[in-house]
This record gives sequence, structure tokens and C-alpha cells, in this order.
Amino acid sequence: MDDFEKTARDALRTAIRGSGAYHMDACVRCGLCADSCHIYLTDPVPENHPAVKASKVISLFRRYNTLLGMIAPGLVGARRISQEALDELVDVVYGRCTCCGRCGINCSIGADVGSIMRIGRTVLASVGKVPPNLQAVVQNQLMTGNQMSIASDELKSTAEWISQDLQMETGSDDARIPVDEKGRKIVYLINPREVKFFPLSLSAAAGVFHAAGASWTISSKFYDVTNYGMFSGHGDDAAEITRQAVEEAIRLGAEEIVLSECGHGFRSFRWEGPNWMKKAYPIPVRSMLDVMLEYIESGKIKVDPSKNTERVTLHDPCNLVRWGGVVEQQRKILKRVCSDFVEMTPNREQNFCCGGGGGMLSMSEYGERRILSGKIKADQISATGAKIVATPCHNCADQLLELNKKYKLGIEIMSVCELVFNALVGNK
Amino acid sequence: MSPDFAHTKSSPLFEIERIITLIGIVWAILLLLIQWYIAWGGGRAEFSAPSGRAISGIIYNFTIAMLPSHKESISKHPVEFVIGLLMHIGVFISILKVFILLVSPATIPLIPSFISILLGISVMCGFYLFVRRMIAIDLRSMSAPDDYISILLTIGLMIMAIAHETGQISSDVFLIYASILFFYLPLGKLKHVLFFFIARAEYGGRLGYRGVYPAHNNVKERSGG
Repeated sequence: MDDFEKTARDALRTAIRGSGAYHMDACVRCGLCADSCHIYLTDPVPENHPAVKASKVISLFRRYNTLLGMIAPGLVGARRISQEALDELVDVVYGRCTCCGRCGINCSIGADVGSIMRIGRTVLASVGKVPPNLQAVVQNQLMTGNQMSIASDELKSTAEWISQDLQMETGSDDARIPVDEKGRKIVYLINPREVKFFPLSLSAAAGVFHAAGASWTISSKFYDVTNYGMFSGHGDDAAEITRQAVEEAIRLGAEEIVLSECGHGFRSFRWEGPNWMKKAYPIPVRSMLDVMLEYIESGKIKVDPSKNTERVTLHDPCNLVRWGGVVEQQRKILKRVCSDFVEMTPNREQNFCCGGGGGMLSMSEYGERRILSGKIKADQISATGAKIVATPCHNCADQLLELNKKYKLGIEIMSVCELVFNALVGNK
Repeated sequence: MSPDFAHTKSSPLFEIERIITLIGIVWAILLLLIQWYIAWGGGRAEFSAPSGRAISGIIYNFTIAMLPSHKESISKHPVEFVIGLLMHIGVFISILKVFILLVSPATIPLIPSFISILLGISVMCGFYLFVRRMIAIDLRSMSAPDDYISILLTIGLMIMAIAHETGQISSDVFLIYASILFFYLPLGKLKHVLFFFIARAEYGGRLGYRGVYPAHNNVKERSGG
């Protein structure tokens, strides 16, 4: 066995421990998961069938982890780990699956196909077969602390001008984005895209924190809520990215980490992070959605739904909802801050992926597939008649912006926080 | 009724077959448990703080989550679901018949004609699934020989059960066939007899821990369109 095979095999053995092997042994290839996959539904070729995709990963598992796979591989479709096999797998697990998990939720057996696909990514990552564009984002995070390599000074100056605008808007000098301030109760992690492209989202969060009288700050060094290590499948990278942010929050003396609206950021930080690091966080981690709902329900902020009169629908980010368990908070909030909120069908843990998940947005080589697979989401949105799509995820927001253009949806995409900020009583 | 019920108890061949079948059952159980142990691999520690209860997720995943209203694989494929269900009923009846034969060889079936008809339906369902796997491009492309062998073995068991029920074959022959199936069971796809439960429990538990399950997706509320 050469080093390449041994490395990949070791990664496979580690990744399947505890649960992965259960699901690989459980799949009976009944084929009934096809309709649950947005990629298959928009391009129904065998290569896009969830069970076909999963079987490519399972074939490697069988070769080394089942008796028949070892002695008669052809009988059970087992395949040896080789350069060729893994090169083929790259297209399958990165290019044809967003690991959204919808097929798993709907599996007749109960096999977690999304996790099987992630195991495939872990094996590939162990031998350096992550698509270069995706790996570049991971490297940015590891080298600079954030996925877009935004310098601390740029973050500070953006925070400054957002603060100035916010002060004008609220009429209060206290409304601002505190940067690197020690001893604040909350350290708020944001998506760097908020700094570069969606400052309104960051401004809205600052406005909400201000209205609630919250004690908060952001770090100028490690403020990135995202973690592309989760998408690449490289657990050590993902652990390091998590560790940077947690240690920074501790250094700043925070009592709590609050995560900006980001699907995979929530999942990776809240659920996977402690397991990657192999230790529990010393302070709690919550989503901004939890925090806003608490503010509204406790009366810390007053909201008026008549300030958001356009019809609003909600897109459920897979990693936040189906993998993360943040399901009802955003609904409760939107019902309080919008006068015309409607659900998409299906919704909650049965939602369809927008097509931008799994790191797809960073892998330009799969751009066409990504936009095509988003047709399901575009149709869902059209059916609601909504003018605004709220989504608590900047990754999804990016994809929805492209879908809006491609499928001429005529919608506006907003974060939940922006709608809350709009509805604040006392704001202009 | 099987013609050999009255004398199987004293047949030496039957006794040998009985022992072989018992060894097959022990082999199947042992190998399945070993595979479970290896798959568990010492488990994986959970360091994140819970949002919900794992046990609630497990219960939900074995109950409500399996209803057609909560599972597209059923609601969008009712025919396949019913056919699959009928086939599995036939398999369970056949295996039950093997156990009864092992424990109490002289037991006379209560309603043999009804059981045979039910098994006959299950056999037809099995053949439907076999043919479907052969002709559907998607299914064919994900199938290995084991997928076909496994279904043929279970169809064969049901046919043997019918033949035994109607007196076409002796208990010896029925048990010989059953032991072949038991020896193969933990090696290929048929191992899902155990891993169905383990995977569903693990998945439900994980989603319960995270507060995803029990889900609220059946809440009636206003939707657009």
C-alpha cells in the first residue's frame, strides 16, 4: 500500500468512526431519495442521483471495511483507493452535492447521505484533492483570519463609517460598532461579506444591539463566522479556524459569542467546532436570531410590523435549520416584524437547498450547475408571490441574488436582522 | 400442510440441518454485532452543548418521521413503498417460519392458505423490485451483484416457505436454504436488517440533540402562492 492510499484510508477510518459506517452499511440503494435532491430534480441524470453519489463513497468504505469488500470486491461494488478513483470522486462530492442533507431526512431507511458525502470530502482533503478555489478560501482564513483577507484596518474603517451613518440614522451618538473593546459581554462574529458587500446587514445588527442596550464588540483580527474548512472536509483546518475565533473572544473577555446570520457558520461554530477542537467551549455560543428573539420577547426592543409591509417569505439555510436546529426563531421574529409573512413550501427541515451550499459559491468550475440547481428554489419563491426573501445566511443571499437575476424573480433579498432593524420603533 | 410434520422430529437429517441453521443464525448475529462494534470504533465524543434531547429525536425518527406525510421517499413513491413493505412482511414471515421450525418442528400452521397467499404476494413484490433494479438506469448504475443476489436470496426464501407450507418440499430442504441465507446475511446488503435500526437511531439522536427533531414541519400555517 503506498502512502497516498494509506493516508486516504486512515482519513476514511477516522471519519466513519461513531456513525459514518452505520449509514454506509444501512443504505440499500432503493433509489427513493432522488426526488429529494435539488441537483437531481433540475438535471435528472444518474450521476446526480443521491444514492449513486453516495455509492461512490461507500464503494471505498466497502473495500477496506467489509469482509466481502476485502475478499471479493467486485461482488459488493467495492473499490480500492487510487488516484483515479479519488479524482472521479472530486466531481461527485464537491461538484454534484451541497451536503444539504435533504436526501437523508427523506431516506426510507434513515441513512444520513449528507454525512456520507462529507466523509468523501474528508478523504479527498486528506490527500490534497480539495478543488483549488475552495482550498484558497480556507487558506485565506488560516493565514489572515478571514476568508476574504480583509485587513484589520479596512475592517476598522468600515466599522467607523457604518457607525457614522448609524448615528445619523438613529440620532444617537452611542450607536456604533465597538471594535476590539475588552470586557464587553458579547463578541459578535460576522461574515466578511458584510464588510465588503453587505454593510447594511452589519449596520442593522449594530442598530439592534444599540436599541437593546447590549454590551458588544467585534474583533478586528478574528471576526469571521464562516469556516470553509467544513466545506473542504479538512477537520484540522476547520478546528484551527474555530480555535482562532474562540480564543480571540476569550482574550477580549466576552461572556458569550453571538454568530451573525450565516448557515454554515452557525453549524460549524455551534455544533462541529467543539468536536473538531475536541473540547467544549468555555463560553456559550448563540445565533443572532436567538438574541433578536430574546430582545423582542423580553421587550428590550420594540418593533412595529407596519414598517415592513411588503410580502416577505423565508428561505431556510440547510446548515442553520436542517443541520443546526434553528428553526422557529426566525419565524417568530418575522411574524413580529413583518405584516405579510408567508412560508415557502416545503419549509423548515424539509426546505430545498438554494444551490449555493457546500462551498459551491467558491467553486466557479461548478457555477452552471449551481445556478441550474437553484431553479427549485426560484420556483418556490415565485409561488409565494413575495417581494422580499429573508434569509439568515450570506452564502444563501449570494446565491439568491444570482437566482434573482437569472430567473427574473423581481425580489429583494434581506437578512432577518435588516427587517428587524427596519421595524424598530424609534428608528426613522 | 407439510407432509413431514409428523416425522421431522425423529429424522437425523433434519437434526443436522437444524444445527447448521442454528450455526447460520449465530454466525449472522455474531458477525452483525462485530461489524456494529467495529463501526462504532469506540464512538465519537460529543463536545457541543445540547439544544434538545437525543432520546426525543430517536423516538421521533422511529415514529412520526417515518409517516408518509413526513417522508418524501414514501409520499412521492407510494407504490414502491407498499411493494417494499409487502416484500418485507413476506421475508419476516418466512424467517419466523424458520424459527418456529427450529424451536417446535411439529407445529402445525394455523392458516396455511392465507400465509401462502400473502407470501405469494410478497414474492411478486420481490420480483417487481428485482426487475425494477435491472431496468431503471439510476438503480442499475448504483447496483453491485450483491444487490441482485440479496433480493434473489430473499425471494428464494419466500418461495421455499410457500413450498414448505404447501407440502412441496420437506423441512430439511427449507432449512438448508434458510441456512444459506443466514450465512450470507451479514456479508452484503442484507445487513441492513441491523443497520437500519442503528443508523436511524444515531441520526435521530443527533438531530434530537441539536433540536432539529422533533420537527414542526406539519404545522398548518399560511403559505404563499
